[in-house]
Amino acid sequence: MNIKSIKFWLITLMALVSCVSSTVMAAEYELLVYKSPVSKLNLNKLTLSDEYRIINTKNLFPNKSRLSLAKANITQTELLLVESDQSLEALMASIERLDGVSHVEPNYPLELYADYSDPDSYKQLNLIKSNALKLWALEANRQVVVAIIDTGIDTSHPDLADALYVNTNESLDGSDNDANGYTDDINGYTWLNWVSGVDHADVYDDHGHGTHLAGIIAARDNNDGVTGINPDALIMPLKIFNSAGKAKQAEAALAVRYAVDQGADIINCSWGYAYISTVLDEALSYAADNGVIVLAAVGNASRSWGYFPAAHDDVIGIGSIDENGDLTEYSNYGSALDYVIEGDIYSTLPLNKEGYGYLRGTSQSTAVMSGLMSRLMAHSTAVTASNINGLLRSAAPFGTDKQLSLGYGEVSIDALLAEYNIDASEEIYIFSDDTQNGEINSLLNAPNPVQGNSTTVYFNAQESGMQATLSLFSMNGVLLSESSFSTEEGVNEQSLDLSDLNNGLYLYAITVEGSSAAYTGKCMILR
Amino acid sequence: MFNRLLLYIIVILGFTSQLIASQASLEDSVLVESYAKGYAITADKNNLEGAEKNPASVAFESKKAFVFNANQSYDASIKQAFLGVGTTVFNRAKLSLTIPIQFVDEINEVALVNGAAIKMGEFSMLTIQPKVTITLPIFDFLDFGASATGLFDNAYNETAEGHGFDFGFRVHFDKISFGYALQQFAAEKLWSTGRKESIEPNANAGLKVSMLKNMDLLADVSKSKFQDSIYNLGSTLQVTSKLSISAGFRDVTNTQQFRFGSSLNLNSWRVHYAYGRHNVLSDSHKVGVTFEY
Repeated sequence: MNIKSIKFWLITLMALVSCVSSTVMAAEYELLVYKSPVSKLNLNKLTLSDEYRIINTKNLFPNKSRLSLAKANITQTELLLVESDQSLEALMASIERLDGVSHVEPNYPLELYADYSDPDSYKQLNLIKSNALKLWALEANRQVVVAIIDTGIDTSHPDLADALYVNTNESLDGSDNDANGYTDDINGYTWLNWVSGVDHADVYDDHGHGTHLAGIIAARDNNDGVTGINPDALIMPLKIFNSAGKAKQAEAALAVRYAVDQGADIINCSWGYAYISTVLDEALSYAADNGVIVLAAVGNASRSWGYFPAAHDDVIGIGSIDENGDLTEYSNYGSALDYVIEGDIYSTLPLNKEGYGYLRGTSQSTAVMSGLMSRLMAHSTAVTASNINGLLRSAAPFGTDKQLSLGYGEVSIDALLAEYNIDASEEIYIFSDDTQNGEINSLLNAPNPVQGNSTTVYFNAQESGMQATLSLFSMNGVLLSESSFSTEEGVNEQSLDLSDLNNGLYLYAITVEGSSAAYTGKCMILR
Repeated sequence: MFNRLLLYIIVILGFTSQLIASQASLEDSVLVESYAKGYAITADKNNLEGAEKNPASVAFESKKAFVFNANQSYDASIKQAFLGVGTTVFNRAKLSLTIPIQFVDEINEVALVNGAAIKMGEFSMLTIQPKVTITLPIFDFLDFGASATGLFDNAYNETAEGHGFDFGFRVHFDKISFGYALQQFAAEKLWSTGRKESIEPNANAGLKVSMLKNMDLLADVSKSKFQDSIYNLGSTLQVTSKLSISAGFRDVTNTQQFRFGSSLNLNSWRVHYAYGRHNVLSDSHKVGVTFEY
């Protein structure tokens, strides 16, 4: 090998190293490029630059003219997938120098605001403690559509399958029948990595967060699993988070606009980020301008800094309190916080994740408030986006004096019901078991499962003065204890002592003297 | 030898008189043939079902045996099954594996809201208690048995795992038999809630008297700490070589659960049916099949 040959191979090797190193250094960025109203810049036609290489671009409003966008106060926006070995700041500055570009932002990420909670937290049953289920007393006169922008939902879940919003103008045929820009969007839509073309009508939840929220809001009253706060609501699942819980704001903005255009009444945003992009900011304003209520979780970072979208002027921010009414250790607070409610809740999960479970966070609190507001709107058409805040504030402890740590406070369900002349102390909330009729009906014990040493057996008696016996049996039918009493007409309560018994299932029965009928129930001890 | 045996019996009886018990095993709810006899089976020979009360009472004529029961108790939401296989080892001992299963659904999940009870939903409970039993003839008139049981529960997203041991013997002569069993000895269960439970033992003692040509009379008593003594009575009549009928009373002094049933012999197969009537809870129907080969 001569000197020339060595030189040739050396230069070739250096060139290769240089090429490889430049490839290694290059990174991909998603940038939102906002153009001036008169801009005719077409990013697709940009030539290859030394500073960056455009991989893909997508116009967020492809079907709207510049004039119509300007009239609607919508900024022309393109999402740009670009590769560059520059720093992000330098890259954004490079693109901002282009004619017609007003400014450039990163496509900010979003974070979900929920964690798995203590496995023993079933003992808390906070949804009940918050009294939110009392809202069942408000008759639903219409079906309110709640858009959940999240991880999708398990549409096959027995508690949710009947709760899905249906786009009646669309059919499953591979076409965009309603010409809204989305194909086969019968129940909702999915935007994942939209700039790369990952968007479709399959809203399956491969994470679990969205299904949990859907159950809190609208799980059906079907004697199966759980029941949501508004079991008559319709859920519009709009999926922007992938299975790892990652999402970005351009996709969120598209989902918000979709929800508004498809007729959602409420948008639930149980996520956020410290910064907000212009495109999401404008989408939230669009929702408000169209009378759609947007609720957002304030975040689980225990900070006073307002996270978006909760900190947006047109969004109601929701935080979490514990069973004592104190702000939880994880809930954010500050000016973005409007209302608080408990957020450690048992609800639906995808069937491949056990079907039900506990999650906690401001995400769950937000879903409780979405359920609450949807029930109010379902009951009265007079409740609208423009006046619901006033209604809630009138039922909140700090309605006229917003607090830094608790916002307007926890909305009192009793006070809300009083607005509709419903006395919360009435017995309308006792579960009625239609399968048992006779002298005794609506028999059940509470709490069940039992964590303590006793439970209370509740039942309705048709008349007073009946001599009755409450008996407790093992599952083999062996008598463990019995007590006699005289009934009162209406609701009766009898305490059942379980102090000497191990965990497990037991049977109890009420018999009435002179009658052969026995009214039975099952009591589970689970300490 | 007899004196030593007597001493053992006295020691065991004396020990168990201090013992206490609570319901942990599925007992007769999973059984059919033994259920129809009022569960008064401590002193009887009981095919594979005997493992559920006295491990010394497991008996079958052929080398191997199989049993499957499918039951429903009190209402349709309480379902039980019983699977069992047994084989003869060392030409005289019986080794068996039995698996009682109970599934109960439609259990209300209920919470209190300002003093009012609200149904949140429903949940179910699954109980499985696999048991390995060895039954060993010590003398012509004495059988000894021992079991090891796994205890598994799943309810309301919580689980429990545990174990227990049963010991028993059966003394049998021409017309009379006596049986004694100590169930759930050293039994404990650990729940996923963190609770560890000691399950108190349950002592059974029973008598069987053969009367007339084809009729057996059965009686036994069970005692545990938190329960009054439970007295059971039963009888079996071999009507023909193909057909037997049984009847009994479970818990004679309290719930007086009347039972009856019949078994049909079809060569190696036996088909069983049992009915039970509880004075408070509703009726139960149970069917089963055994196969010996």
